[in-house]
Amino acid sequence: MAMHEHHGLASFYEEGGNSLRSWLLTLDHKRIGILYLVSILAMFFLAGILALLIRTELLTPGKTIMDAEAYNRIFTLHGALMIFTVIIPAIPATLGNFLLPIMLGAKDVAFPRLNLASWYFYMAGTVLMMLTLLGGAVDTGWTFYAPYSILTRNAVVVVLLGAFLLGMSSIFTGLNFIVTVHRLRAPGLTWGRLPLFIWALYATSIIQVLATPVVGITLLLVGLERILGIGIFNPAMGGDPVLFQHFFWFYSHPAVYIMILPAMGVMSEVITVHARRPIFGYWAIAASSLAIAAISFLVWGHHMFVSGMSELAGAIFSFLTFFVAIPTAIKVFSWTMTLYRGQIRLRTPMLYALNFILLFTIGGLTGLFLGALSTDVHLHDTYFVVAHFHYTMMGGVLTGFLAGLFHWWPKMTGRLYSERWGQIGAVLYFLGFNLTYIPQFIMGSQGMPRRYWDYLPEFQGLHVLSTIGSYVLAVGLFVSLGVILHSLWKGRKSPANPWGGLTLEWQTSSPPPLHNFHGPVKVEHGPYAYDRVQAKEEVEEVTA
Amino acid sequence: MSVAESIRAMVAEKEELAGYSGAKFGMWLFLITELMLFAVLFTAYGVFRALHLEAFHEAHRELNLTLGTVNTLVLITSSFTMALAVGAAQRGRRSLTTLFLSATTLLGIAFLFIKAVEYGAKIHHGLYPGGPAFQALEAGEKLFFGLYFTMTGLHALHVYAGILVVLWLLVRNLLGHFSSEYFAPVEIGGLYWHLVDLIWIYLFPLLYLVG
Amino acid sequence: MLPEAASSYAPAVDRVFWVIFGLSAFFFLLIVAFLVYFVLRYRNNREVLPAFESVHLEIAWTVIPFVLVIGIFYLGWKAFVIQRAVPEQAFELQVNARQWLWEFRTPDGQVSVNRVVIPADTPVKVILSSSDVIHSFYVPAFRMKMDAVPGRYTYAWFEAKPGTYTVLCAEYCGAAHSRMLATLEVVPKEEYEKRKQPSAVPAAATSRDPVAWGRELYETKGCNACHSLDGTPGVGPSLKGLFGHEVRLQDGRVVKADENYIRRSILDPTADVVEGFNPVMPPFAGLLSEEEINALIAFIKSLQ
Ligand code: HEA
Ligand code: HEA
Ligand code: HEC
Ligand code: CUA
Ligand SMILES: [Cu+2]
Repeated sequence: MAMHEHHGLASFYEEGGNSLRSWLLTLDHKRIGILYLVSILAMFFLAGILALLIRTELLTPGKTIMDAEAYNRIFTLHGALMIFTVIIPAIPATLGNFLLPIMLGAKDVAFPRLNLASWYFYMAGTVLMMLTLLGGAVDTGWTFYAPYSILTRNAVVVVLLGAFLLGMSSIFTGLNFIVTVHRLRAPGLTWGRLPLFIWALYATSIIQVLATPVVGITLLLVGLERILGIGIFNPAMGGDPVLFQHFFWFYSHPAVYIMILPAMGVMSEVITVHARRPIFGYWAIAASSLAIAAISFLVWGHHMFVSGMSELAGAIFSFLTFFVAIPTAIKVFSWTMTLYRGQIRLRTPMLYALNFILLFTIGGLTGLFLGALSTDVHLHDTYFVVAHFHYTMMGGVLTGFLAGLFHWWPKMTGRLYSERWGQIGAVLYFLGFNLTYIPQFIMGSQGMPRRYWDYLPEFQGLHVLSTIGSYVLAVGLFVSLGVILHSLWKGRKSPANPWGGLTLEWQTSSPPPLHNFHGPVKVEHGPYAYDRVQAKEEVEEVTA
Repeated sequence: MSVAESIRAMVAEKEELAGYSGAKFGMWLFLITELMLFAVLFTAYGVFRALHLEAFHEAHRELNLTLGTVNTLVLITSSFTMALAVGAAQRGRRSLTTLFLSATTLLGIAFLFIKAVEYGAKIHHGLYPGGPAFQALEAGEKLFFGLYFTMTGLHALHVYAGILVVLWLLVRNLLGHFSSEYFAPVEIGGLYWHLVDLIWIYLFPLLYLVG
Repeated sequence: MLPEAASSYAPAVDRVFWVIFGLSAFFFLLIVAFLVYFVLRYRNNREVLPAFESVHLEIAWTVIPFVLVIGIFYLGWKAFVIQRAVPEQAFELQVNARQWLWEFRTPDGQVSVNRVVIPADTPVKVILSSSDVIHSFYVPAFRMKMDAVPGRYTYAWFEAKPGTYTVLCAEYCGAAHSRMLATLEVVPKEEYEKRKQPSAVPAAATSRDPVAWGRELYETKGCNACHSLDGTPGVGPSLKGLFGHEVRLQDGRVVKADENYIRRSILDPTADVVEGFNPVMPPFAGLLSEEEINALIAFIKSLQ
């Protein structure tokens, strides 16, 4: 504890030391956030490499580098890892964990031990998922549709258990955040002064707590079905495989908003800071987060228009689906208007934020084709859907995550990264991304089904384009990874408030001390009062 | 006290608060997740019951109504003793708390024991998923037993977890951790126990009475 | 972007597609235009400009999309109603899906695998069932897709122009999902009537070259989904060089691949499961005539 000599200037990295133990048993939300960050980036790396294998296999019809069974396992693992271990926890568990208490002016989350437990559950679930690789892996697709998942012979139960544990971890985080937001706001931090990132995490947490148990039990039921044969989803025993789909999507549809809402929250922070502009329509954005959370529970059937569900149900689900588009539209328009009369700085986080608006809007708009009944009949389970969800999940959530990562990187590590290389990474990412997925929209519309190892020769041209795109995308990501790693060794020290932000996290040192603030915290203005309060941009340089 | 100090004190006080009522709030949220968990099973039950009304009715006669009723009484009584334990803890009556917590534990164990007897009889007759008598049933009846074992099984797991919680409370109570100032864990454990009880209150009529 | 529109309702579906496309393009370009303008105009601006709030704007961009999406819903629903409403007295085509082939039964009792002939300009009701897992009957040219769910019947319909169309399996169903294709041959009504006559197939069969016929059956009955001819194992073992050689079975037996073995392998595949493979081959008993089995055996013999 020699660090106390520094009179509170020591960061949380120094306070408490850097032994393995100090990390693995830490109750500090910031360290837990870093633990999550490292594990999630590792999983993203792995699942991304699997994606490159998928793309390489699809260079030619028939066998290119692997046979059909290997392909099926790889896309299943790619999808399951990306969804359960990467994109759902990506923002809440890393940026959320690190920043939520600081932005509230609190010392920690309400239940620090639960927080640590959630990371262990995450690791356990992840390890289980990876273990199946040894046992021949799983070939059901990430959707685990019954009865295929009941009949296929492999490690399905283990993956289901893994997903269950990951679900628990997600619930713990959500529960913790709800209580923290309610109980631990600093004096003066009224609901109307909450940063929109907090509003978004709050809405997300509600969905996590309400929806995750449903998928947990559903996956357990599939496991029981395999081990004991209870019959619920097995048509051979009078069960109903379509019921499985209802249960599965009752969670997995809201799950897509568990993913996107935090990314939307990040957007509101990044755009306001780098445009130095009050957010346009604070209340509309905050309320639309809650509206999305509420409506998300009513639309799951839009994944099942051709599953044999009744036409009436289909019509109702389609109708409700379109309502989600409205709060989302409000957000997109509000971010755009925030730029009006701003003082825009095109730093790396802002470039990712612009990427987000463009890519996510494409993803969202193509959701309209899928929400409309008759076009979905044609597009369902084609590459159109694959492109749609990569535009929303990767173009939306992952891009938002990267925006946030670069935005808060100096705060989390105390280091500045190379602005120029960060920008190059962001541009490559944008180009590669579109080259990968625009061809997929086209081939999907033409009738190329998804989860196809082999395909009709007429689609080869588009597949080749898509594969090339994925390599460019990978280069962009590797550059970005290089940028942040480089900053850890060689980066300049970051000042407390490099971009001139007004929310609480910018008012403590970078990286923050163990208890987050050096003195008492008092909030006197809203988070985006750039028209009245001007914080100094401590890093002036903006590379052209 | 300077302004800064008073604010610091307020913050500290707030964080204290989170410890107690925050924990209770957290528990309520957790109970909601539990309810969602069972809601899925109830939905499945409702769907299949509507589809196989006759078969469900036939199958439910196989259940032992007497044991089911006894178990219901056992569990309701345990909820009552749990409530008494919480009351005792709030008033700081340590030995009374010990008494009621022990009673709750014993009742919980009794519940599991009776449940095990019921399961044993079913298994003996081959009426378990995959068992000989089970295979001979028609689809709807299979589903009934599939659901019966899943729902009561999951519930029994919860009772088991509840017993562990109560035992832990018992130990802490014996160690003198609780007082009329600090009894939150007992209250929170009590909430959990009541939830487990509540779920049974729905399971019992659905499985044993209506069928 | 869309494939040829070959069913009666395909143009209606395409219209919905293009309306949504137009609206999306409009909104997308609008957002891009504003973004580009703001970024260019206010980039590196150092001046604090007055705040800007506009409730009117917010109401406008809530209400306008609201009205538009209800419009989209309505269009999508209207075309969907056509897709789902089977005209009376449709020609009933029974389709049973199994891993990984399609079995067709026409009302006149003809049974075939992976290939079926259908009259043109006639409403055809497709009645779907499945023997194992969920599959999905997808004909892109018809804008038609419907899952085949085990334990129940589902349906869809179409009325097509003459032509040859590919049926794809759109719901993931395992190893050979991407090879679960079938061909729909839609021929003018008169021709269909002509072909329907129990054409002298058996008679012709005897006079045909059995190896060539066997090769045709290999392609049309779905063997090619799982068996290659060049020695590479797929879902099932390659048929190349099979005949006359020893085969090691799952249960340790080693048998010689003679006519009887091959016959049994086709009719009752689970009887002799080859080592290293899963017992997933569907039994073809009832789906192949004696002559067809003979032709397949002759073909397999020829693959040395
Ligand atoms: C982050 C993830 C994410 C997000 C945010 C969304 C958002 C939306 N999704 Fe998506 N979706 C997925 C992830 C996501 N989706 C995944 C993973 C799948 C497939 C799973 C699988 O099968 O494996 C899927 C599949 C899927 C389907 C099923 C397709 C099928 O299998 O047949 C449907 C159908 O309705 C759908 C619709 C929508 C809609 C309407 C939205 C809306 O929320 C979009 C709203 C946004 C906008 C509309 C754009 C912004 C608005 C404007 C620019 C204003 C102008 C707008 C108007 C005029 C309305 N999605
Ligand atoms: C968030 C979710 C997510 C993400 C990010 C991705 C990323 C990618 N996906 Fe994936 N995908 C899914 C979720 C996701 N996918 C899901 C759910 C499915 C459905 C599965 C199913 O059907 O069951 C699917 C299916 C799927 C298919 C369809 C398979 C089929 O149906 O047959 C394809 C095909 O092209 C594909 C491609 C890709 C590619 C090329 C990427 C690339 O963008 C990947 C690029 C990433 C890398 C190359 C890693 C490099 C990383 C680093 C260097 C670290 C970076 C770190 C920092 C910058 C800090 N994916
Ligand atoms: C769904 C995939 C599938 C289809 C379709 C299929 N088979 Fe098979 N077949 C297999 C598999 C898997 C095996 C190996 C396991 C076994 O013996 O059952 C096999 C085994 C065989 C064998 C024994 C091969 C050996 O090496 O000993 C023969 C002969 C055969 N199939 C012929 C056919 C013919 C002829 C058809 C078409 C009329 C056909 N199969 C269709 C999957 C398939
Ligand atoms: Cu059959 Cu996919
Ligand atoms: Cu959805």
